[in-house]
Amino acid sequence: MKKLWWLCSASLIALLTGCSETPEPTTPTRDATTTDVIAAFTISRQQSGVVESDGKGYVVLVKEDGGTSVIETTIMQHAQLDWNKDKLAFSDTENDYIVGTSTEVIPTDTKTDYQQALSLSDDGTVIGLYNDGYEEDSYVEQLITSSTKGSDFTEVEGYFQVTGFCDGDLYGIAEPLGKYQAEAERQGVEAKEADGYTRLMLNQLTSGTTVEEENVSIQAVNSSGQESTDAPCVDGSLYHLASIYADSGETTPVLRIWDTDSGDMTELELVTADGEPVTGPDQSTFEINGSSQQSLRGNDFDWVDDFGRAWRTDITTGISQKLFELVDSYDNSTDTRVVDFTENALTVVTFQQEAEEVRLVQYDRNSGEVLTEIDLPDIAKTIDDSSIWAVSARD
Amino acid sequence: MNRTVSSTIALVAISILTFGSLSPASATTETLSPAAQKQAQALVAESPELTESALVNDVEVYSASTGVSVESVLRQASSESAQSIEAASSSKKGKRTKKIGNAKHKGDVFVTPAFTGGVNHGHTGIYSAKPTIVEAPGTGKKSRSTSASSYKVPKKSYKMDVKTSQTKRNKAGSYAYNKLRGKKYSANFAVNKKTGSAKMNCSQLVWAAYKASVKIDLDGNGGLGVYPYNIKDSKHTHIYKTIK
Repeated sequence: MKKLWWLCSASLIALLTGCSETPEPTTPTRDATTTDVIAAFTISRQQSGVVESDGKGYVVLVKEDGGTSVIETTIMQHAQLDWNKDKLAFSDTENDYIVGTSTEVIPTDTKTDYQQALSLSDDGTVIGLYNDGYEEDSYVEQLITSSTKGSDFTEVEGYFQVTGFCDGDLYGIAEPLGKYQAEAERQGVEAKEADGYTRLMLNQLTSGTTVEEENVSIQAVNSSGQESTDAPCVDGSLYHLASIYADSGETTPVLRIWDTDSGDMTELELVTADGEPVTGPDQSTFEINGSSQQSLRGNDFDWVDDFGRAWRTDITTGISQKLFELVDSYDNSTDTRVVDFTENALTVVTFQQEAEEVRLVQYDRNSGEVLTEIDLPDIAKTIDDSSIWAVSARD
Repeated sequence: MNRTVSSTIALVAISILTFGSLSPASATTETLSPAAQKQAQALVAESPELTESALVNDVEVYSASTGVSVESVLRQASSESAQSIEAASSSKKGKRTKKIGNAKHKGDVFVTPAFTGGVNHGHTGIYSAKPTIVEAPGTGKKSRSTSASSYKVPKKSYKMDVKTSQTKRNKAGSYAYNKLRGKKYSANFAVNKKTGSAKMNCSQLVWAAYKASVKIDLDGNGGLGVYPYNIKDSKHTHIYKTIK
C-alpha cells in the first residue's frame, strides 16, 4: 500500500497516514557536511522473513550542539561507518557515500542489504563487505570497492563474523566452508566438537584497495560465538572477543589474537585480578556488547559488555578490570546500544524501545566521566521497529 | 489429519475481497472447476508473492507424481492455508522490538509473526549454532546466516527446541548449514514439503533440515504444506522461550 508522508519542521514530529505509522525523521538531506559533527550512526530495518519494508535507512550526523543532519539511504542491515580525518563514509544497497565539505554519492553495483565491514582509505576508496548468503557449495559475501574513478564488485567466500583492517588490508574470520572446508580437511584441522563454530579461518580479503582473497590459516576452536565488524589490528595482529559456549549453558568470554603473518591464534580467557572468570552481574550469562578499531591501546583492550559496564583487558594475560558503568538505562532484551572507542573517548548511542529515547553519550574512556550527553527525541520517534546498527565517532 | 474446512473459508473469502487485485484466471486454471479456481485465487491472495501460474504449476507437478487430482490438491492446500492463518491469528501485527537472542542449543528453531500483504503466515528459521540463525529471508534473497544477538522480532515470538537428542539437533542444524544451500526463495507454502527442492521458503527450510537429516517431521498438521505455525504447533517442538 502506498504510504503518504507529511514532512514537518524540525521541532515537530512528522505524522503520516495510510498503512504505516512510521514518521519520517528530521527532514532528510543529501547535502550534509561533517562541519561540527562529532559522531554519526546508522538506522535501518532488518531484512528477514517475508516482511513489508519501506526500503529506507538513515544516517544521522550529530553535531556538538545536538543538532542533526539526516541522510536518507536504502535499507542496510548492520550498516557501518568509517571516518578518515574529516570525511565520513557509509553505504547502502545502491551507493557508497563520502561526506566531507559536501556529500559525495558514488553509484555501485547493487549490493545485498547486510553489511559486514566498511573502511574509507586515505586515497578516498570505500571498501565494503556484504553478507549475501549461501550458494550451491559455499557461502558468498560481496566485496565492493569504490571511488570517484568507479566501483568494483567481487565475491569472496565465507560468512565473516569478524572483520578488521590491518595497515589498510581487510581481513576476515569465518567458519571454513566450500573450498576452505576441503582445505581444512586437507590440513587435518579437526573440529573440536560437533556443535557450533569449531573451526575458524583467517582470510586476507584485500591488499590495500585491491581485492586479494587468500587463506592465512584454519584453526580448531571451542564452540563459540564471535562478532566484530571493526576489530583492532596492531603490529599485524587482529584482536577480537568471543564467547565460548559450554553445554551447561554458561558462556566464557575470551580474547582471541590472530597473527596475520603466521596465522597463529592465541586465546586468553578473560578473568578478574583474583583469577575469577568474568561473568555477568549476579553470575548471569555473560554477553559482550561491543568494541571497535581503537579499543586497543598499548596492552589495553577496552570493550563494553551487555550489562553496561566498560572493561579493560590486558592482552598479555587476559586479566580484566571493570572501568566504569554507563549511565544509560538499557534493557538488553529490547534496547539497542552501539559503541565506538576513539583515542580518548568512548561514544555510546542507545535506543530505549519502551521510552522511545535515543541518547548519545561520550565518556572519558579511562575515568568514565561524562563528557557529552545529547538526547535526540526527533530521531527516537522515527525509529519505529528499526535498529541502530553502528556509531562512529570523530577523533 | 484434520481436514475440516470451517469458518476459515469465510476468512479466505474475506482475504479475496480485502486483498483485491487478483490475477484473472490464467490459461492454467481455466480447466478447473469454479470452486478450484476460487481456491487457487484465495491461495495466491494469502501468499502475496506467489503467482497463480507458479502455484498451479507446483500443484500439477504434485498431482502428476501422486495421482491426487489437481482439484483435491487445491482443496486441501486451501484448507491448510486457512488453518495457518487461523493458527497465527492470535499474533497481531507488531513492531519488531524484541531481540530473539541466542539459542539454548544448535538446531533450535524460532517462529515469529510476519505479515505480507496483511497476511500473517509467520516466519521461521533454525539455529545453525547458538548465536547464528539460518533463514530464508524472502523473495530475491539467498538463504543466509545472521547474528541472533541483534535479530529483532515482534511480541509473541517463540524459541523452541525439538524433542530429540542433541546429537540429532546438531545434525539438523548442520544439515541446514551444509546442505540447504543455494536455495532461491519460493513463495509457495501450499505445496512445499519436499526436501530436495531447488527453491525453498522459510518453513520448508526448517522442516527439510529435520526431515532429511533425522527423519523428524515438524509439520504439526500434516498435509501438503508446512507453514511456520505448523512448526510451532508440532508435537515434536517444545517452546522454551516466549517473547512477550
